[in-house]
Amino acid sequence: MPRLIAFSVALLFSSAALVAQQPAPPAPVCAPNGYGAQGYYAMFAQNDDGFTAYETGSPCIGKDVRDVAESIGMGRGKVMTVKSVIGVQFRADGTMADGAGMAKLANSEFHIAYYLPAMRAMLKGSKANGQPLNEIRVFANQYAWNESQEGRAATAAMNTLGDRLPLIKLTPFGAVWSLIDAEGHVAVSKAPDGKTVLTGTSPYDGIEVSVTVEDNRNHPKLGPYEPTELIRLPVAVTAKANGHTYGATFADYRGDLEPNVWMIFPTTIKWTMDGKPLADLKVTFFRSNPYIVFPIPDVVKNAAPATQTAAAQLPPQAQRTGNLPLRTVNTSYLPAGPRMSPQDGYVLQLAPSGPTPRDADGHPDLSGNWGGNIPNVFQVPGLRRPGGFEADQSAMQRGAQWNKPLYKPEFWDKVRSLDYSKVDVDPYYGCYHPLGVPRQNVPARIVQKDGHIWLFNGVENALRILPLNGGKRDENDYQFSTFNGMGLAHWDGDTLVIESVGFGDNTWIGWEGYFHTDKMEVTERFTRVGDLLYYNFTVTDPDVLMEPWTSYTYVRRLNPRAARQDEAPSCIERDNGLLADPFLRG
Amino acid sequence: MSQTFRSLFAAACAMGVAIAVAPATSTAQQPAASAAAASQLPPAAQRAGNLPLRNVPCSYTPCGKRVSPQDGAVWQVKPNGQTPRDAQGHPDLSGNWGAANLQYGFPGGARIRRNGSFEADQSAMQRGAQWNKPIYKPEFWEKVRSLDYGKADVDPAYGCYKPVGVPRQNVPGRIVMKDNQLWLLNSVENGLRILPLNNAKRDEDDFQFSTYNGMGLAHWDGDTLVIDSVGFGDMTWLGWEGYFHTDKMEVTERFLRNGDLLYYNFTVNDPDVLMEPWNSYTYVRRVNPNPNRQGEAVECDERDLGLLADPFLRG
Repeated sequence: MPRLIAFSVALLFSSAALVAQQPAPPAPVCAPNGYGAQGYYAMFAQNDDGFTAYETGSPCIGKDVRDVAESIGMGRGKVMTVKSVIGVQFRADGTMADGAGMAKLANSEFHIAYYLPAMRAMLKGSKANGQPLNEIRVFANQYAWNESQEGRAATAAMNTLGDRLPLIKLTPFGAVWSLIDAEGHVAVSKAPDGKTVLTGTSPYDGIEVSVTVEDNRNHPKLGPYEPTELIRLPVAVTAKANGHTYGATFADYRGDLEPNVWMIFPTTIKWTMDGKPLADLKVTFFRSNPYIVFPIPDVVKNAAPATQTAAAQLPPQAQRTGNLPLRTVNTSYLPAGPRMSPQDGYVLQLAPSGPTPRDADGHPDLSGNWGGNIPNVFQVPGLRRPGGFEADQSAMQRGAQWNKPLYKPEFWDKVRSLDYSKVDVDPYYGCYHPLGVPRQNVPARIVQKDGHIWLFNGVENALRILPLNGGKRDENDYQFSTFNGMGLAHWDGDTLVIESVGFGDNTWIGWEGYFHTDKMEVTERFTRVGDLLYYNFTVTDPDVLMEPWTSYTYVRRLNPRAARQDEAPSCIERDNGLLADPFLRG
Repeated sequence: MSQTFRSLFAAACAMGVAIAVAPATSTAQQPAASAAAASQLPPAAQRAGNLPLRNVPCSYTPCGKRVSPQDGAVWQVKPNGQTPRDAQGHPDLSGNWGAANLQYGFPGGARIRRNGSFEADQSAMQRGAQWNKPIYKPEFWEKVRSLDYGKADVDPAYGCYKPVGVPRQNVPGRIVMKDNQLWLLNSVENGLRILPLNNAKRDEDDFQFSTYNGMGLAHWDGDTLVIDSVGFGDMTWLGWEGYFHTDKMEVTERFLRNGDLLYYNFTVNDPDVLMEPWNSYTYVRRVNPNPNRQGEAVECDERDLGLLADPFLRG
C-alpha cells in the first residue's frame, strides 16, 4: 500500500514517535574556516517503503541564501536540505550566439546536473547562416564532448569545457548552488537600486558568482505562496570564469511549469558574455530532478581529462578518503566527482556500537529488528509548507538520487516518462502489488538460525526463507517469474551475498521509474558491524542497462524493541485515490 | 502443567502399543445414562487418559467411547529424539512443520475412490472426519448447514488475497524461535506472525482491531506456548464446514513440542454465537528435516478459481 507513507511521514516528523535509540551526531557547527565542521545528514520516509537521506544545510549558510533557496524550491524545510534541486530539464525557444550571429532555437532542450556538474544542450532550430541547427553539446565533470543523438555517437570536444561549465551558473538553481557551496564565505551587499547582492565562490569550481535578489511581495498564483507573501527571487547573475564575465537575467517566474511539484522557475532567461548577448531563452517546459545521466563515452575517456580550476580548500565532507562499506568505488554515482551524495554522507555519519554477534559457525548473526529505528536526529520541524506533503516528498526524493542506473540511451525518455506519469503507472501502486527485490531495500526484520535466514520486509509477499548454504543454482530458477527472485545465499567472508534470478518484469528497481526486464539478475550484500546493518545491491539487466548498476550503500541501526509484527490492514483500491493525486506522481 | 503433559504423553505412548487397559472413568462429560454394555470393545475404544493439549477425554460431545480419526491419528504418531530447548529451558519450537512426513495417503498406494470425483469425495470425507464440532447456539444450526452447503464463494477464503486466518490456518508451516521472538509462518498471504515473548500485557487497543490473524500475545505455560489473540474481524471462518464467527471472537492457541512432534490446538470463545468455548482437535506435525528454500507463492488469479472448483456448490 504505497500511500501509507502519509502516515509514516507523520510519524517520522512527530517528536512523540521518535525515541532516540542512537547517539545523536554532534550538533551542526560552523567551523572558524567558514565551512560546516562536517556534513550533516538525516532521513525521511520516502514514497515507497524506504527512506531517503538528505543533507541539512550547513550552519555557515546565511539567512539570505536560505531565503532565496527556499523561495525557488531548492530549500525545503527550515533545516532540511537546501540542495533539493540537483538537476533540471527544460525546453526553450529563442536565440543563441553561434559565432556568425544569432541562431534561432526551436524546442531546444537543456539537461543540467548541478551536483556533478554536467550539462547536455540539445540545440535545434536554424543557425545564423540559415543552415539547420542540430547539435548536442555535453560536458560532465572534467570531460566535454558532442553527440549526434542523445547519449550516442560521441566525439570528444575537450577544448570546449571551459566555455560550457560556466553556463550551469546561469540558471537560478546553479547560481544558488554556488552560494550554498560557499557556505560562510558569501558576501552580502546592496545594489544601487537597493536590491540585495549575494556573492560567493564554490570551492568545487572556483567560479565567483553574484546573485541579485529581488524581494517580491506581489506574485499572484506563484507556486505555494500567498500572493503577498515575501519571497526572494534571483533576478540576475554574474559569473566570472575563464577571464570572461557571464551574465544572466531571470524574469517571468512561474510555479506551475511542473504540475504537482512546488518548483519556481523563470520562463524568460537572457544570457550574456562580456556584455554581449549569448542567448535569449523562452522556457516552454520544465522538470526538476529528472532522470538525466552523463556516462562518459569511451572515445572521450581516452582523451586526457581537462584540468579544472584547482579548488583552493574543499569543505570537510569532500575530503574523505577510502571506500564506503560494501562499495569498492569512491562515489556512488557517475561521473565520480568530489561531492558526496546525501546517502553516502549519512552512511559515513553513523558509527557502529557494540560487538558484532556471531553464530556457531563464526558468521555474523544478522538477526534483528532493522525497521523503524531512524530517529530524526535534528528534530526537523516539518515539511516545507503545511499540506504540501505529496509534492515536497517527490521533489526531495528525486533530488537525493545521485546514484542512477545507467540505462541505454534509447530508454532515457522512457524512464523520464514513467517517472512523471500518473501514479498508477508505478507497478507498486494499488493492492497486492509487492515492491519486490531490490526495491524493497533493507529487510525490516531478519532472523538467522539453524542454517537458514528469514528476511521480512513488512509488506505483502515479502518474506524470503533461504538456506545459508545455497548450494548450486537450480537451472529451473531462471524460468520463474517472481517478485523477490529465486535467491541463493552464501557467505563471502563476513558479507552475506544473495544472488537472485527468476524475476518477472512487473516491478521497478526504484520509485523513479526504473523499470527492468525479466532477465534481471540481482546480487544483494549484507554486512553487519555491531548494531549497524549495511546493505547494497547490484542489478544486471543487459537488455536495458548499459552496465550493471550498484546501488547506494544503505544502513539501518538495530531496533532494540522486540515489537509484535502487526498484520497489514486490508488494502482497498478505492482508498488509494483519496491518499494520492491519481493523475500525476509528485 | 508441563509435568502433567509429559506424563500423560508417556501414558499415551504406552497406549499406542495397544496394551489393553480399562478406560479411565471420567468426569463431566460421561453420559448420564448407562448405555448397553458392549461385551468386548475393540482396542481403539479402550484408551485411557487425555490427548496432548486436551484435558477432556475426547474431542467431541457428547463424549462416547469411539475414537475420532483425528484423535486416533494423534495417538498413532510417536515422537523421536530429544526436545530441543532454548537458553531459558523452554522447548524450541523452531522447525519446518510443513509437508511433514506423517505418512499421508493410504497404504498400498490407494487413491481417492474414483478418478474424476476429487472434489466430491474430498468434501464427503472431510466432513465425515469432523466429529468435533463447535456448538453453536441452536438458532444458528441452520445457518451453519446453509453455509456449509452454500456456493463455493460463500467461503470467505475463496478467491484471491483472502487469508484463512487464525485459527483456521491451523499448525504453522514453519516456525523460528530466537532471542525471545517467535516467527510463525503459514505459507499463505498474510500468514506471518512475529510475536515477542516478553511477558507484555494486553494492550486494550488490541480489541479494536479487525484482523485475520488476531492481535497475539504469547507466553509460556510450563512447556506449552500459549498465544491469546483478540481483535479479529468477522470475515473468516473457524473451519471449512461453514463455521462462522463474530468479531468478538477470542482465540487461545497452544503449542507443545515433544521430540520431533509439534502438537497444536486452539480454543475459540465467541459467546454471541457459541453455546460454550470450543476446543479444537489436537493436531500434530512432525518436523520436516528437508531445509528447502521457501519459494514465493504464485500470484493468485481470480479467473482460474472457477476452473478448479465448481462455483455453484461446495463439494
